[in-house]
Amino acid sequence: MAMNKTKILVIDDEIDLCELFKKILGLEGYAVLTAQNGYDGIKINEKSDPDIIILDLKMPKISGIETLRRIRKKDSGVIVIIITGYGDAETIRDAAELNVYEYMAKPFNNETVIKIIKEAVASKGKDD
Amino acid sequence: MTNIRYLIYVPVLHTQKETGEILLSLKADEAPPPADTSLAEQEKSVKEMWDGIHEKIQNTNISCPTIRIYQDGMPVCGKEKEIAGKLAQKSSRNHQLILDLLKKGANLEGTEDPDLLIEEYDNLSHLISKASVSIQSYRDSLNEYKEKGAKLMKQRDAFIAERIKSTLKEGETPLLFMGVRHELEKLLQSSFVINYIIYRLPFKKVRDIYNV
Repeated sequence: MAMNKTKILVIDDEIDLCELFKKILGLEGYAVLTAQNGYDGIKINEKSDPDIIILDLKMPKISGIETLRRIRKKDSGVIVIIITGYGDAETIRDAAELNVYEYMAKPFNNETVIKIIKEAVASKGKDD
Repeated sequence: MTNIRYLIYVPVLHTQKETGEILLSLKADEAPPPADTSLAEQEKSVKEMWDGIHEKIQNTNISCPTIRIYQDGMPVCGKEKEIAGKLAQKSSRNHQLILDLLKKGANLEGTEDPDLLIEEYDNLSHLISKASVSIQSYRDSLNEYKEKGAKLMKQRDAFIAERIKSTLKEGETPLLFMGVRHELEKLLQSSFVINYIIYRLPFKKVRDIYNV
């Protein structure tokens, strides 16, 4: 179990996936916030200052990459993990430029995601 | 009727060790570049990345005899299999996977212009040598490397794209293992439908100049 309530914001238009993250990450002791589009995600990020953002790329209204660009203008430090079903070379380069922690493909293994999040939380401690 | 041609693109991250060894295959008389303190951690993450890619490739049920492999850093030299074998022996998961595919009937093609790879090696060596002088000296060299690197990458990509088009045989599917800095899709998407195989790319763990 996580010692502190590390806050994780999940930005993904798939409601079922947001619910899955709430469940699996909640069991690990994390506080999980969700947004179904980039605009809401940007607002919640500004208001709630999460430790980690899990971000989808293909979403209605604005893409995950554009969402991340806007988030990075105000918050360069938040850890971002991209999880996408539509990965390609261009978004990988964009993600690298925007300093993502990890770029993952869907479908994913729950245990792998939890492991990556734990490593990210630990690295945040080191960076602080 | 036009036949649709598919291409399998696997974007990958390289460890510092791999980068050094790939480029050293061109200059066998030189010592490897200095190791980074987080090398073990880098290698563990990249190994996991390759394990995932290996599994995904197995699950795609591709017919290996119709696959022609194009590999980042693999010079056109007539010794491609030998180089892949040597790097696989040195624990490169990338090249171990290539050997596995070759055993199943896939073909490996020399991919890169050796002269351009040597230029890349020289630029990288120059940058690494500056790291031990001073931070300012390294920063200056880094900017210079990035500038030269972007131009060189365009030349390398142009060569690779042409190489793929000129060596691919009728009925074959190209399988590309390319570092994330390459922009080959821009040169190939007019000729191929590109399918990506991505498992995970641990950028933070492998935040190395060669990848970002």
